[in-house]
Amino acid sequence: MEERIVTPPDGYASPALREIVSRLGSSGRKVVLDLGRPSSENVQFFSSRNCKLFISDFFDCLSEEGAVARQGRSAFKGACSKLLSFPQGTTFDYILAWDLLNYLSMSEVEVLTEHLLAYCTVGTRMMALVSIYQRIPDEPFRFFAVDEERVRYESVTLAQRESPRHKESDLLHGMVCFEVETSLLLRHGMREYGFIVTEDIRRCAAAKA
Amino acid sequence: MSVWKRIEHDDGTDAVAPPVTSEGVGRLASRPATIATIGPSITIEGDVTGEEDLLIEGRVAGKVTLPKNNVTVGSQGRVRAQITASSITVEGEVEGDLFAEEEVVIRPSGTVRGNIVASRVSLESGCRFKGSIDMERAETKESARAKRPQSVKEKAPAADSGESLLTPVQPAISSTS
Repeated sequence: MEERIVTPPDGYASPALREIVSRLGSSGRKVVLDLGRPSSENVQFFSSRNCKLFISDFFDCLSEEGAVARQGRSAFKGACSKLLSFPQGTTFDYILAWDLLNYLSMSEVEVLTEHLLAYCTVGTRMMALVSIYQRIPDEPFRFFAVDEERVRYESVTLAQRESPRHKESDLLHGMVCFEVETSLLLRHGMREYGFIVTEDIRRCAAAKA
Repeated sequence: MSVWKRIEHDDGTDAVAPPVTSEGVGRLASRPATIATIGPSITIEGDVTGEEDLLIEGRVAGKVTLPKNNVTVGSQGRVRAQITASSITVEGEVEGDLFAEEEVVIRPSGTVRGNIVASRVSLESGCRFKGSIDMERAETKESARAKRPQSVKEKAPAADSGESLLTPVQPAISSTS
């Protein structure tokens, strides 16, 4: 029987979003990196909560770079440097990865998170959805923050591809300095993770070296 | 005064043009008379300033500064410039920062690579955008204006006060929160 991902019309309850929103507005302005596609809803949602929002549209920009950008760690590292370059001194409080990790190999997840660590600090949180299904849409969903605890998403294509079905143990091994803060298996076949940077980034880097 | 240094036609011929005013920019008969148009075959390298709404269907590299007016980058427009305007609508491609007193709208056909500072931002489904969005500064500005006591007389429009209308509004984008 073919597995189908059903999009709940009113979205799903998101513990990771709730965690993020509960911290917005406290202790000044927050800086949010949205790795997904641009949407007015998310701009409005985060801007109205005293956030500065960076949108990177990473998957589409990476696709524009062509297959060469994904031929090995070095090429992917170069693509990350090119596509995820931010003003000096930028530190993100929150990173919205949405379902991007489903479209990256484990090696690419490692490179991406290592690159992003340069813009993180202890306490930076990352929201990510990982599919447990074998098949996923050929392109990431478009995600919208509906309210303070609900996320809605819609598919942009009917085509499908194999899912890497990343395991939590692999993610934690590859995502240096990140730990799982919240983890919830959703009814639509995705596990939503709330990751948090818990260690000093320089110490992580030194330990890895 | 509008100034652009070089006009390059699609056929590859170049011409150094003297400084011209925005009145020199062609108009489309189907558009309201107050909208100046940079046509698809026009390339401008340099700064564009003025006091009327502008539709860009050609190529512009430099700065576009019309702080009291609306700027539209049409579907054929290709802009590599910082744009400062009252409101900005993008249907074509822009590489550069956008500063709008009121609103920035990126239509589904629009692509923007740059940072946006505006009171309102609308990213229509299907548009492409990469950069940062900062609505705080513009909102703060608006709320400060709203909170101003009634007794304080609004500053007269620049045209009446004799001030230059060409002074760009260009808040710097901070790199951190």
